[in-house]
Amino acid sequence: MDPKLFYAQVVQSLLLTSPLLVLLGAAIIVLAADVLMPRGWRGALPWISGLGVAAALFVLNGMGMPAAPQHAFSGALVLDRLTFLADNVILGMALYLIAISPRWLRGRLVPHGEYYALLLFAAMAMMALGRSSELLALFLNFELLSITFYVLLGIEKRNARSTEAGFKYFIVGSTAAAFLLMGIVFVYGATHGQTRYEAILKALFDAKGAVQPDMFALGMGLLIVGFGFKITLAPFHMYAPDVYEGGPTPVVAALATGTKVAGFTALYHLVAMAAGFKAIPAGVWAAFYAVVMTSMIVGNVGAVVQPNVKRLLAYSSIAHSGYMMIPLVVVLAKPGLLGAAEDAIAYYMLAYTLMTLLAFGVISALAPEGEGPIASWAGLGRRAPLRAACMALAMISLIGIPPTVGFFGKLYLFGMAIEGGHIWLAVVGILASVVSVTYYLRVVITMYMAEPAEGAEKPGVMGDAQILAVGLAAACVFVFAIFPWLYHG
Amino acid sequence: MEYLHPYIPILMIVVLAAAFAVVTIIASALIGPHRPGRVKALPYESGMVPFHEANIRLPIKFYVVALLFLLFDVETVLILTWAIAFRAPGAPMPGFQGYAFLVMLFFMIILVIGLLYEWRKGALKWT
Repeated sequence: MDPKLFYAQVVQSLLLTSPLLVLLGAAIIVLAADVLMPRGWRGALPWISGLGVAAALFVLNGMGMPAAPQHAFSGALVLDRLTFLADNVILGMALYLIAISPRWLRGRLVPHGEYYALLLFAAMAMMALGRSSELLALFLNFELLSITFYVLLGIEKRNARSTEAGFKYFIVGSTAAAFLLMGIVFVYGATHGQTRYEAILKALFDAKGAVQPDMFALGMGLLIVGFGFKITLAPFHMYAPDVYEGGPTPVVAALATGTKVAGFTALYHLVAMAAGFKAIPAGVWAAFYAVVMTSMIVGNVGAVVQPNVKRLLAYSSIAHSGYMMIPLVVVLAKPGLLGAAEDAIAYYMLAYTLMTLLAFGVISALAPEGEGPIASWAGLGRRAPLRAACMALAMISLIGIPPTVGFFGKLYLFGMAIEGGHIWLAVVGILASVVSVTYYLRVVITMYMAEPAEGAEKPGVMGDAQILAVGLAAACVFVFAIFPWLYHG
Repeated sequence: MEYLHPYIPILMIVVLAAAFAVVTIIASALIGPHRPGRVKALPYESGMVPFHEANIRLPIKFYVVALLFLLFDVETVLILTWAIAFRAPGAPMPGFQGYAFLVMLFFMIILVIGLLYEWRKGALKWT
């Protein structure tokens, strides 16, 4: 190989991944600052982390949206339109969580340095997972993300629920990793030793047809199982309610939004690789179809009976994962719709992240009472009008009522289903959304129409950063609904 | 399913090995002599006479040290292989050694920061 070309590629790879490197550097600085600074200066940690994320956002957008996919590190990572948008969503999420965390952490036994550093590591891992375009890189980034969350979920060491959440996620996450690895092995074997997506794509559509179709289908099926755990698709969702209920609220918000953004971006790249291959319609397609249907049904029906807002949001996130899978099912059989699917997923990941973050922001601003049963939210419309209004907005957007991002997101997704000729997906999706009205509105009704219990106090005031973050998220729920071009051009 | 053919001999070995183990255990239980005694029932400790329960409480510090040891041990494996390959003949291109050195330097810097971190956190203190 030409040395000049090699070193130029190394430099270019580093430039393409510079937002991740900035986050890595920021996380290390936070860890170092935590042990080197006097104890009284801990208030600086969120500022350092926030500056790191802002720098990463600056670097990312300085590069601009790539016109064509750009590969880094010999094709291990890719930067294309979808990953660029996903990176922006993930970094925005990180800024939001850093803004709401200090007030939530107050009075809790949580090591601050590790908390912020791990949040940054998690954001970096999410970006890396979304950018993976090689099977081994995919596995490594998948594990990097899992490991940060094992620690983050259990970071409130003295809280038994938090420890339980971390441990459950650990057990389930390791199982998922095993499935993912097995899937990788089968895809690798079926394509005679290819791991890069581009090379696999080439092998799949090679006229000589050396690929073993049933082995490849088995590999893809196992990969879906692995991802199913990560993005809480229905038969693999069992851990979600407990983990969401017990985990630290800002961490759960990251788990519910950023992890899914990363997971769906990675899954989109996998599906785009295999779309249109002749073995797909038989086995893999049926698995995708079944998973989408069960996710929409189980998520929405399960949420109806949940007594706790965080558990309710866990089931709601299962349902929304089901909706978000629709474009992937459609393009598996119709690769011509790949561009439309990319748009629909890109928009819905923003919409879902905005409304879910808004809901979790309100919950963390009402902690610890708000993390309890829904009944404790009674009368919040009078006791904390701003927070109640924001929560109501989040619920309305999650139902999908215009003019919010939730409505337009669902419009694109169900539109995809009809365009692809899968009327039943759209029908079940819309019926499931109708069911979802009952439980989302139950929260709103409790806040505005139920009488508060005897001795219910006014919840503590919000911090400035919290008000700013929650208010901005609420505004964005409208802004990106009315001006979607602000997001994906 | 023809790509599974090469694995049939492996399957046969697995079945044979399992059958051998099971048959041996059952046969020795059936035809072997049974004369149990107090000394025979003692746990085997390489000839030592066991003097207390094996389940005792260990200080948690051992686990921290074991964990840190494992961490640095794995890193040593990486650095050793790198060091052997570093001077190996047939570098892929001019200037590759410098590049390899920079990459390892980056790794070492992160490693040292980790070491400093655990030192300052007090993970290396025994008392």
